[in-house]
Amino acid sequence: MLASPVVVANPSVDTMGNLSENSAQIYLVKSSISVMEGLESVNHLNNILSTDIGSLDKGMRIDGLICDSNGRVADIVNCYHMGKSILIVGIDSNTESTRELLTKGVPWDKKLSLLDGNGALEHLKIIGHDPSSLVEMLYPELSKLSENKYSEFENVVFSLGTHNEHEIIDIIVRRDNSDFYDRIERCNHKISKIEDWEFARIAVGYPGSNEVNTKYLPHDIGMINLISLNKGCYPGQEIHARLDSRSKPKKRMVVLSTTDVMEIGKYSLSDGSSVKITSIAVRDGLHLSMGICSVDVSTDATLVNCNSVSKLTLL
Amino acid sequence: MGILGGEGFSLPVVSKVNVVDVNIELTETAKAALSASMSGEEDTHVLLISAQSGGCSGYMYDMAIVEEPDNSDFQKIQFDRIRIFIHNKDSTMLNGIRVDYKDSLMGGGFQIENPNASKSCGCGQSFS
Repeated sequence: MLASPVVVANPSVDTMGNLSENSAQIYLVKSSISVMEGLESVNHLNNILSTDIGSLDKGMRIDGLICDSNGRVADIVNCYHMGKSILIVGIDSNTESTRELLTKGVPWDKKLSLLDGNGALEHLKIIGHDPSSLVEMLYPELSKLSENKYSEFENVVFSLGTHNEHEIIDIIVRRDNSDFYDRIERCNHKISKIEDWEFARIAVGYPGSNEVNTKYLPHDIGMINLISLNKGCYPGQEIHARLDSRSKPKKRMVVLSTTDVMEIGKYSLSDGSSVKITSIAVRDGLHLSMGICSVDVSTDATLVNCNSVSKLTLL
Repeated sequence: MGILGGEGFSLPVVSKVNVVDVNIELTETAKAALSASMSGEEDTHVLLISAQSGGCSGYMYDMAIVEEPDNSDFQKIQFDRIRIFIHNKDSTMLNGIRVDYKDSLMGGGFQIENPNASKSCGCGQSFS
């Protein structure tokens, strides 16, 4: 039995620390961007999302999960109240299913419409050490960002969120807003590619299309903070409530850091458990993988029976 | 102009809706309970059954006695003097339902059994 030196750790502890010491970078994110129009938009969304967004008002952003009736996560969405409409940003691969869900269940007497915003808007994220400073450098005129609110300045929407104790700044910008892109260039910054975002999101333990596909419960992918068990019914609520009251989560998300490439699939671990690798990314020779394993996995577990990763080194 | 102003936004996303001729079943107890609830207003009021997003299982039922809506998108099903309206957009989801009424203190009231539902929540008000 071969044992390879691999870090298996909670994303909020080990691997994250290294990445967050890097200077903040701007990443282009492939997202699903929709705009819901109509007076009953908030109520309609509140019937669907796992978080209570009944209080969502102009200038606010609230995140939530869209789950199926088995409690599995179908999408993670950020909802921005823009006054007369709600801007909904979700995971790109779930665009079609989320839009169908949002439109199919509109009550017959409510005038709600959903527009495709991907042709007009682009989604970017800033991750790394002190992302707020980068925003301040780009837009010194902008006041300090706070959570659950967004700031709109010169047709750019900025909002602050945290995940696994990492600050993440979301930016929504019109594709034709040349001033925004000019500012980035003037400040000697550049927008990282989509492939780099994949690496960055694994580094901070943020689920992507391979984790948000109706296969995993919110607990499995570290999204339990986006469940409101006291809001009443939403799709999946019965399952989430039962998990909360009668059992404990069985799975958790982990990040593996290696110097050699991993493949998506199941790997055995030295503590007798296993890890299912769901996403992989590489940057500067460093390979990161996101996976789901038993909640009781040992923090010093190593991969076994895995010749191809024998060159791995501890980070 | 604002971030949502200007060009580039598409026409509204429309979910494809299949319209079927709705058949429903109304039990005798449900008929009696509805007659009592409508209290002689059967000529002007109808029972409107609809479905919308929400509930534990994805979609939830809504039943209401309302003045007859002036809308040609409804299918009308008549049981003696009681008229039931179902909107075309809900026809696929609600075709074949059986409306019953249970007279009990716990969990009583109108209940819907839906042959199209792959799953229903514990309270019976939601389905998927």
